[in-house]
Amino acid sequence: MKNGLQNIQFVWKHFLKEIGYKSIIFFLTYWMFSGLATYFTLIVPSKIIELLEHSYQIEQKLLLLIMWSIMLIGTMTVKNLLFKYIWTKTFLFRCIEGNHLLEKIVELPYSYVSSKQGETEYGNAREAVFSGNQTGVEQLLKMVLEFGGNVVSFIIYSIFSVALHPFIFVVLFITSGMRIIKDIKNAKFQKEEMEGLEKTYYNRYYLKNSCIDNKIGKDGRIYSIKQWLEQQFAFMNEKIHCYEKKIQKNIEIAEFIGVFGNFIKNVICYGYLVYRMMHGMSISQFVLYLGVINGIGNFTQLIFNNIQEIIKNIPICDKYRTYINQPLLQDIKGTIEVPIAEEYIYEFKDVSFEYEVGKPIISHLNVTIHAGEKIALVGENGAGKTTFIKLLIGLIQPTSGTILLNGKDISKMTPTELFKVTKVVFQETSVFPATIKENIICGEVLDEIRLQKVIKESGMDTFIHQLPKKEDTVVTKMFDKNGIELSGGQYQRLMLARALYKNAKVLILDEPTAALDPIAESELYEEYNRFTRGMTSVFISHRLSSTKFCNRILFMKNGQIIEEGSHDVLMKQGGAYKKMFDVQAYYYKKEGQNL
Amino acid sequence: MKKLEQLYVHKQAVKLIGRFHYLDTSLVPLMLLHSLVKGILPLLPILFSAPMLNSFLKGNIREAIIYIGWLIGLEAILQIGETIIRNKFILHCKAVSREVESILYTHPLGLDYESMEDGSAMEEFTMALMSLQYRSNYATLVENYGMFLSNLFSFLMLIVLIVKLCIQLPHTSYYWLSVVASPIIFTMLILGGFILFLFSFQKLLLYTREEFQKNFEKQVEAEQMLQSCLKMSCDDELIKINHTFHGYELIRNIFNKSIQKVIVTYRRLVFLDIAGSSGKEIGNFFIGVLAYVLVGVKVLAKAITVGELIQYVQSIIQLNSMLSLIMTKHQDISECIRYFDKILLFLERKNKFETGSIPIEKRDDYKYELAFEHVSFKYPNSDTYILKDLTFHLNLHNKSALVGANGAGKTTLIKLLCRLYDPTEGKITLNGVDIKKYNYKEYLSLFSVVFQDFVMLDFPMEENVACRKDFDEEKVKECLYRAGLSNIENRFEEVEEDKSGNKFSGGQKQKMAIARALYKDAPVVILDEPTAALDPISEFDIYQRLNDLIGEKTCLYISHRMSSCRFCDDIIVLDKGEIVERGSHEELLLHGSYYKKMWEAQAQYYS
Repeated sequence: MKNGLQNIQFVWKHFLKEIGYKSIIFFLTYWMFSGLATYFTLIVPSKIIELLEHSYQIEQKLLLLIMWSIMLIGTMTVKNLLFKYIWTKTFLFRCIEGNHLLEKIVELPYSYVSSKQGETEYGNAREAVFSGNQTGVEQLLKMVLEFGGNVVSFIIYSIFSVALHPFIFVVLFITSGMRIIKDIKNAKFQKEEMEGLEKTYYNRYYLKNSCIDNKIGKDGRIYSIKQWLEQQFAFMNEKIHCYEKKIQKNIEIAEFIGVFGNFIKNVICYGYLVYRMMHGMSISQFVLYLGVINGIGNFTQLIFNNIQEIIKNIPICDKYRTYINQPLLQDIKGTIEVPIAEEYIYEFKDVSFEYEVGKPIISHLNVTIHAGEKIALVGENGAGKTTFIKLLIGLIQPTSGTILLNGKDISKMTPTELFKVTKVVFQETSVFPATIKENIICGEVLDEIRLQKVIKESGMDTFIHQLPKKEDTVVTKMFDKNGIELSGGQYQRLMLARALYKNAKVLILDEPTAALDPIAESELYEEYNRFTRGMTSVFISHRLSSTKFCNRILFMKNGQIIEEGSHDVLMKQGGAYKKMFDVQAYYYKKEGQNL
Repeated sequence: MKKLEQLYVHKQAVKLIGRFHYLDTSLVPLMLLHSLVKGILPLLPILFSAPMLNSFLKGNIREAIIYIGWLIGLEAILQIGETIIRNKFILHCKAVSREVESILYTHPLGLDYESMEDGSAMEEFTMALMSLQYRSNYATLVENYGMFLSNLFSFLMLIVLIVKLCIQLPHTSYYWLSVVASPIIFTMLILGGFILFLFSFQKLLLYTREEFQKNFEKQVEAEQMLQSCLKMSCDDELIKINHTFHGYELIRNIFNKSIQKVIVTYRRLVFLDIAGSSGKEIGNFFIGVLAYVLVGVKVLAKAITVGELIQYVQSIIQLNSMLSLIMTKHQDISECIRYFDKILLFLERKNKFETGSIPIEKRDDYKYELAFEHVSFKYPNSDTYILKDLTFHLNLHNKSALVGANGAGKTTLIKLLCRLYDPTEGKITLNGVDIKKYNYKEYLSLFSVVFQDFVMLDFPMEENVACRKDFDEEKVKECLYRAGLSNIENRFEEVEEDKSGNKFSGGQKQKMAIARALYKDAPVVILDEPTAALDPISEFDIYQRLNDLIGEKTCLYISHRMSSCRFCDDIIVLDKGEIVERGSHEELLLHGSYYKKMWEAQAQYYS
């Protein structure tokens, strides 16, 4: 309850902040007109009958008739228009909040965003702003608005029905509320059933997305995946249908109860009204109370629905609230300054990292990366190489142990400052839907000369020069129809250019040659020496040939470094590294040379 | 002419409803029944209020009680009936919609790849999807039509009541009262009011609707933009880059710009909505006041009793709302049709590649002969030729490799071979016959391809291998084993919950893709860089198994790892869309230049 109010308050406060404080007036006016409209709906028909039967002048009667009808229909019109107007504001509000959410996620710490918890929480938070008019912050506001109006109306009805007879009020209240017990049960049932079905819904959503995915096209035809997906669809549709059948059955029962309640109410209330008529109630009074007994049921139902919707949307908004209140990466301030130096030394001291308890990716790792050293990191898939890199950059924090940068603990440093030390080419290519130039520069300062230099160094120059708009060409067609899609090799070069442009002292390359052909690969190796002059660097590659350029090789297995040393030393040692190297070299060697 | 067009909408609607009638034959009868009951129900209180009040006025309580009894009883019975029919109807609607949706979503996979990769068909598809998502699915059409009918039904009944009101003669000495209440003048007044109101209201409604339509494309654009933003915000890689390269400003700008665009588009839509509904509200206001005044006059002129006042006022107000509902529903239906047409248009797209009919000869010895004859190729909408005048034979029954630099046209060549595209010039033949003349499906059955960017879906691993739900369990296990995934076998039971394709590492997925190719058991196996993502040990493992994997079949192999060429009897070297060298590994090392260069670029580090 307290939590619910807190959330309503939160949404409300944000709404006022974004849309303006005068919105309060619109809400209040809406409630007032709801009350007026209800009041007139009740009394106008009886007033008109009364005046028509009265002995006024004809002209007077007509004038009063017009006046009453304007009162009734005018208030209803104003009420409806107000609702529409407020709706536009709540809608706008949802868009603005959506923007806040998007901005928020890219500035949250990576370790949170990439964790399973962060992923689910983001998914939940998104529901509050990106799931249409019927869910989330907009719906909550609308429901609060409607709820207020309906409560005012209900109170007016109640007063009238009590005036008729308190007992009638009780009858009306009970009969119109009869189905609510079943409705509550249904909501609970629905929620329970839904939990089991969430996966199906998600899978179906995923299936739909897979169908639109361009990538599936080729496999789709060769392996006639269409048939498979049709089977999946049929399977899921059937599952959802079964569930809906159950739900609909329950709704039907609730509705039957409603019909029954209505019947009982009619019998009692009409009976009572007939009784009163027999004892001299006027026809206009009869019409008035007829309105009361017919109308009040609607409002109990509406209020109930409003409450149900509010209760449904509060947890959604709550998730949104927690997300939007997460501390930003920028807000995390370290206690130790990031050392500014020409050379950096990294020390890993008994570092462990695990995503899930008991499944360490990195376990008790100790290593020192000296200043200006070129390190090659090799090992099988899943040995923990990429995780090692993430730890080193400071994207994620070790579960235990410490990482020291020039002797100082990096976990106590300001993360955004720490990122300035390293520049990385990640394994997976990823670009911003912006111009090539913006992609290269990112958060750095623009320096034309430097820009041209790195374009040349990364081997992008020939490609860029043939583009009509040169480096101002937009990459990806996401936001610009004239954007271009790059090939795998070109993306890789763009990523390299970005890293080269960045003014940082430590270079990290995570499999930068996987998508390159042999000659380009060989060229990159040659260049690598030049890129890294006077720099600390870490190079991950499955191509063990690359390790020859490195001072030291770290061989990782199961999250630990099991061998280290230069290429020659490790080859002499004859351990895992040698085995791996030989395996790869096997086919490059002449027949007859054995492993 | 315009009238005819309006009628055409209904003809079209009936046709469209008929189009998917086969999915659920009980849907239409349910719709008709529901609209009938739903049409009567709201009129009951109106119909009974006059006789009931009149009886009271006459002091005949007994008669009044009888009327009340009828009202209460009928209402309860009809409500029960309506509840039963409606719930059934809703259930059926939802189910059918889902089925139509499934049909639409899977449809592109049955179309030829070429037109799906080029923009026009994809755009058509997106339009169809958007139509389905935001405007009109099959159920919306049926529901709307049902509501249209029920409103029409109520409308007709109300007309009867109002005609009855019009013809009541006045009994009054006031001259002008008797004039206004006289049948002809009164009818004209009511008609006049409605026409005036209809005229202004419908104009506004039509205008706003039309504007709405015009904005649909913009809305689609805005929605897509939003989707792109959401996709970006979930992109793990992008977030990494964002942090490490301090791209906050850049990304924030992208988001702000797109949301701003979305807001502008929706502002306009919302404005139109408000304009339309305000017009409606104001129209309602006038009709409402008019109803009270005119019926009041009839009462004053003693044409009808006070007891009938409510009945007739309610009829006029109801008539008005029915009228606007009918118009809105009519609009809705024509809108549904327009969007549904987009869906149909897409569904009726035929597969261009289904040109041939010759069946493929089934051979146990896999003696197929593929040949390229002067094949040139450029992608649609592009001027650069990727392949230029290629002529060569593929001797099946051996292992061939395709090598070349990035962008040499290797993957394109594969796409042509599998008929994902047809050559721009020249032809490809199988056993001497142009491949276009073969039955497309049968032709495809010749190939098992592991593409560079193969796709594994988040469904059980076995299904991913077999590409179907009703797979042969033994065969799947065997294929996985042959692809080197035997150790996962034990985990079948263990990870029951999430043994979905994407929980595996890159190397495991690669092996699954190979298992998929094995499961298909086609005579020609094509592997496009199958080991790029693998570590040396796994790579070696695959190389070692290659013979065993392929067996008697033909294999075409693309790789940047030159070492893989060692197993191949026939190496084709591509450069800029042309074959520059061809021969066995040894021959090429002896005589070749380009191949030798590439080989040495990699081999030097290992010697």
